[in-house]
Order: sequence, then structure tokens, then C-alpha cells
Amino acid sequence: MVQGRISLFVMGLLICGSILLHIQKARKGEEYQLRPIPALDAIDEAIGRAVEMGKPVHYTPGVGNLTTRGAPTMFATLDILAHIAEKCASMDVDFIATTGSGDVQTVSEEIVRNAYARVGKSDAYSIDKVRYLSTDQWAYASEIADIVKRENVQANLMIGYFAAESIVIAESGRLSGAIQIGGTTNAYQLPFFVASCDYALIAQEVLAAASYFSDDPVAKGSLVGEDYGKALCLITIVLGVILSTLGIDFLNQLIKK
Amino acid sequence: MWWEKVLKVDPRIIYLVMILCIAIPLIKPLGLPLSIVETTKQAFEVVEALQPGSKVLMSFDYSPGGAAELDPIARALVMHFLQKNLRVYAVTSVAEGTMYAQKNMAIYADAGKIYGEDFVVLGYFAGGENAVAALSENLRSVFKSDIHGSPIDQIDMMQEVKSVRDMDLVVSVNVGPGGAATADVWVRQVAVVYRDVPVILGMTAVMTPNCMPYLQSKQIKGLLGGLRPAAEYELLLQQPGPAVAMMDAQSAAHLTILIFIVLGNIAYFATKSKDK
Amino acid sequence: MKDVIPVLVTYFIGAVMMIEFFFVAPWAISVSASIRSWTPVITAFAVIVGTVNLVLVHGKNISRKTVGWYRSIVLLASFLVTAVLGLTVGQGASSYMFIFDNILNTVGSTMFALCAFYIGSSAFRAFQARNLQATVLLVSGVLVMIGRVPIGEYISKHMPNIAQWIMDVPNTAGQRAMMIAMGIGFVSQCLRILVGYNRKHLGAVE
Repeated sequence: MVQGRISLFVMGLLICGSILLHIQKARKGEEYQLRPIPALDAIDEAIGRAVEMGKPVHYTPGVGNLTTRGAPTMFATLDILAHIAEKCASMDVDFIATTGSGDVQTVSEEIVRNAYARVGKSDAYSIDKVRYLSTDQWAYASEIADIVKRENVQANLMIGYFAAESIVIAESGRLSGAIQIGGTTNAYQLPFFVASCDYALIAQEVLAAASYFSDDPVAKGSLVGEDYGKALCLITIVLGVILSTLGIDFLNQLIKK
Repeated sequence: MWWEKVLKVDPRIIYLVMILCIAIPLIKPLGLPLSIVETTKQAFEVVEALQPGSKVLMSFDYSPGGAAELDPIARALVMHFLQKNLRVYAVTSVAEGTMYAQKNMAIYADAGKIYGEDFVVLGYFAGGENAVAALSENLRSVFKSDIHGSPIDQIDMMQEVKSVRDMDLVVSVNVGPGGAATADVWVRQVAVVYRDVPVILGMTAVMTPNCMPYLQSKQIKGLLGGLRPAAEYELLLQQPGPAVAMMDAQSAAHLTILIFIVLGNIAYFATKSKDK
Repeated sequence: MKDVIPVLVTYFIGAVMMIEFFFVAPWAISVSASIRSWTPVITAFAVIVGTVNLVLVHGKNISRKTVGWYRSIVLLASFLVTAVLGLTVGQGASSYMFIFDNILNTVGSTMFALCAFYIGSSAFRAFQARNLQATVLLVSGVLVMIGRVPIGEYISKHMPNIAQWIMDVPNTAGQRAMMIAMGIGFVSQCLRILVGYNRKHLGAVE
């Protein structure tokens, strides 16, 4: 093995093993209870509010793509998009999805079309529901600000991979009076969503969204497996702090292997 | 009643106050003193320790949006490389970054340095993290020619360079997720893999909290986050430039936001007690 | 069947990359080096796909005269002029640099500068000491904001050190925790894609 990566390999094996084990358990019927995340619950509330006001719902997954920029986050946003599109289709509320890259656009069109078909509303689907804006973050943000204002969006949902344009989108939405839910895995953009949105999803909650919205045992099982992985990291950190404080370098040396 | 009006103030009034507070110090500088913080000194010392002729891979990973904050950092670093007679290999993972690479490397050209011997602009590489991994392992897998179209093997200073292992320093001035290869990409694909090659990251101030763990764990050897480190770097070089000139305006902007926060809180508590 | 081959290719490439990272295996090193060298080429083609997509979307806006269709004309005209200039006279030419310096650079910087104004208005509204957590956020935000600019030192010579302590200790601790959690989340996402559990990107209906 490559020197300096043995401990990483062992940790990786343990975490991946935990994820795969709990996926198998979930597939065999084991039920897992997930703690409620207010921001995810608020998505349905926001859509309900838009239905009452008769105004559209807007969702955007950010400027990432499925290959390089924020790929894991963008994959998670596909599940969120499916849920929101299906909800909007079933409640007959106007839905606009905007994307910032070509590959996300292509997949999103398929997802939204399938969502409408699942609730028997294929006729209500049109190509304008999923709009490709721009890969440039500023062109993307200014276009969204315009859409939110022009189309009088009531629920502005921004969950995905965002950079500095997050504050422009969030503030524009707030100024137009929309209920806003924001979330990103870029930790340094979170303060802008926390300041401007009614609800915010913090980092890993974006990745956990799929488990909340679907009954897919794979999603739920992997979330439980991740939690065991986090527990392992926590135990390692606590042990490391105690041992280092006592002047015992054993764990430090082991991790460096 | 008055405080309720304050809470509901038109945001355009806030914008106007901010414009004035930023513009006035730019026109009439205040000359506020500026000390040098440890993190900037750390980055400075990494470059200072290099010998003349050392090789630096510098990536200008920013677009026009981030240029106001990042170009002064890049400029200060290039000036230091010039002072130390280092050889610079300029690349970028952002399409518009080639313009900033060429603009900043013009500092070398203007100082009489020879293209192909003292500096080279290899240009833009597509592919984000994968491309950083590829070029770190073998520069020629990503670049077949430089930005002018000259085959890479015909450039003198490329003869002794195959991979990042042959570099003495790697620098990325990075706009973050708005670009292609973000700051943590350089940590994952260069700093962690090629531990003997020091990495310095330049970034916007908002990204700095996110990247502090990398500096603390010594995965990166220097971190310049925002305009202030750029200003401090210019002072360390004893060549105050655009970053120093903008610090007064930044002070005024921060003070203005502080006043807004105080006003907002006073208004909040005043209306809260009135409601009670 | 249409999903099987992409899933197998994904699995194979993922496995080779992981073997190359963790084990000393010359065959894996040469295979993954080849795979990595394809990525810039594939991404460059993605730029072409994005460009075609952009032209098609805005062309459709113009032909259908949707709301704001005239902006699509401006976009396509700007795109054409910049592309033709770049390909004919080159990036170093004064006409190309004029577009970059006076339009692209300026517009990009302006949009980024908007953040300052939006942050100003959101700070006024959002940084209120509603409860203990909000107060801690408010106080630490103010200390870091003031400590990172020269006026902070003018107020007190200890301000930069206080700001740096907040960045070095509580901030770094919180960032590390989020990094670890997100890292594990990313591992889970990627694992599900590599072993074929997650196939939404292939158009699979789940």
C-alpha cells in the first residue's frame, strides 16, 4: 500500500462497509427513524403557500454540474427536484426550475417530465418548466433575480451548490416577498442563506434530503450508515484529544501511516 | 413609531449610504495604519525561503467577478516572485483566467525577463479536479503547447519539468466554486499527494474561514484570504499598491455595516418593548 | 440494459482510481493516468455542448418572442462578436482586450460588488439579538468584521488578535465538523453512484 494512506484506507473501508451494510438492512425491510429537519418540512409548506396565492414555485440547484463542480451535491439535488416537481404537479401550481449547466439541464428535464407523468399530469408539462440560464454565476444569478421578480414567485427554493451568487439570489427573492428555503454544501455561503432565507439547510442536510423525500431504502440505509461513520470519526477525535493531552502519541502516529 | 420606520427602511437608502461610505475614502484616503498578521507573514516567508531560479506553478483560478479582490493578491505574489528571481509557470482552470495570467505575467516581461526562460503562460486547462490531478502527475498530459501555440517541449524552462514534484512551490489564487478547480481541489490533489511541495492559496475573504483548517493542519503552507492580506503583502514587499489603497474604503464599508447592525438592533428592541 | 453498460464503466473506472490511490500498482497508475488525461478533452467538449445549448435556448426565445426575447438578441450578438474576434485576431489583440477590460471585467466586478450592498441590507435586518444564539452570532460577526480592517486596530490594538482567535478556534472547529460530515456524505453519494444504486443521471426512473 502507498505509505501515508493505510489508515485512510481502513477508515474508508469501515465507513463504506457501514453504508453498504445498512443499505442491505434497509432493503430487507429494516425501518429507520429519521429526525425531522424543519427546512425540509417547510418545502411542502412553501409549496402550499404558493398554491393558496396562485403564484409559481421556483427551484434552483445552483451552478454545479454532474462531473466536476460540486458533483455529489448536484446528484443529491436531483432527488430534491423530483420531489418538488411531483408536489407542484399534484397540487396544480406553476413550477419553474432553473439550472446553471448543460448536463444538469438535460437530466432535470427528464426528471421533471417523469414527475409530472407519475401524477398523471403529463399534459401540464412543458419545456419551459426547466430553463437553462448560464454557467457564469453572475449571469445565472441576475437571470434568477429577474425571473423571481417578473413571474411573481411565491416560493423560492435554492438548494444545491452555490457560490457568491447566493446572496444576490436570496436577497432578490426576499425583496420580492417570496418564502425562501436555502441550502448549500459550501459552508461559507451558508451565512448568506441563514440571513436572507426563512429556512436554511446546513451542509450535509442537503445530501440527506433524498432520504426524507422518498421511501427508497437505499437512501435511508445510506444515511444511517453515514451516521455510524460519523460516530467512528467522533470516537477517533475524542480518543485522539485525550491521548494527545496525556502526551501519548500512538493514535497520531497510527493515523499518519 | 420612528423605530418601526427604521426597521422598514427602503433598502435603496442603505445602498446609497454604502456607496458614499465606500467612495469617499477611495477619493480621499484616511491613511489608517495597517499591521501585518501572522498568516500573511507565513505565506511571505514560504516564498522568501525559495532560492533564485526556483520553479513556481501559479494558477490564476479567478474570473472577472473575483478579480477586484484576487488580482491584488496575484499581483503581490508575482512581484515577490520577480524580486526573488523565481521561474513562473502560469496556468488557469477558469477560461477568463488566461487574461489575468497574461496581465500579471506582463510584470515579468516589463522587468526584462525572458519568456520561455523566466516565465511561461501555459494557459487554460479544462476538467476541474480531474485535470488538476492529471497535470500534477504529468503536465504534458494536459498541456501540449503554451498559450501562443508553441509546442511545450520546445520551451526551455519546460525541459526540466514533468510534474508537480519538479516544482518548488504551487500557488492557486482561487475564486472558489465560481471557478472550476476550487481551493480544496488543490489541497486534495496537490498538497495531500505531493507533501514535499509547499502550497499557498489565495482566496476571497469569505472563503477564508472554510480553508483555515487546511492551514492549521499544515496541509497548506500559506493562506492569503481577501484584500487585507494583499495589502499586508504589498507592505512586506515595501511596494504599497492597489490593495493598500483600497483598505480605507474597506474599513469604511465594515464600519457602515456595523452601524447598520447597531441601528437594526436598537430598532428591534425599541419596537419589541413597545409591543410589550 | 441501457443502464448496465454505463454502470459497469463507472464501477470499473472508480475501482481503478481507488486502487491507484491506495496501492502501489503500476498497471493502475498507467490506466488512471490515461483516464485522467481524457477528462480535459471531455470537459472541453462539454463547453461546446453548453455553447450549442445556449444558442438553441436563446434562438428559441427569439423565434417564439418570449418575455425578454430582445435580451437573447443582445446575448447572441455579444457571443458572436467575441467569438469571431477571439478566433480571428486572437486574445492578445486590442479589440479583444477592449471587450474583456471594459465589458466582461466591469460587468463581472459590478455583479460581485452587488454582494456588498445585499450584505449591508441583510445585516441590518438579520443580525438582531433575538436569542442567545443570534447574539453570539452577532457579537462574533462584529468582532471579526472590525478586527480584519485597519479601523479595528485604530479602535484597539487587540482587535486583530481577537478576530484571528475567533477564526482560528471556534470557526475552525465548526468548519472541521462540517467538513467531516460532508466528506462522509460525499463518500456515500459517490459509493451509491459507483455501485449503481443511484442512476438518476442515466435517466432511470426510481
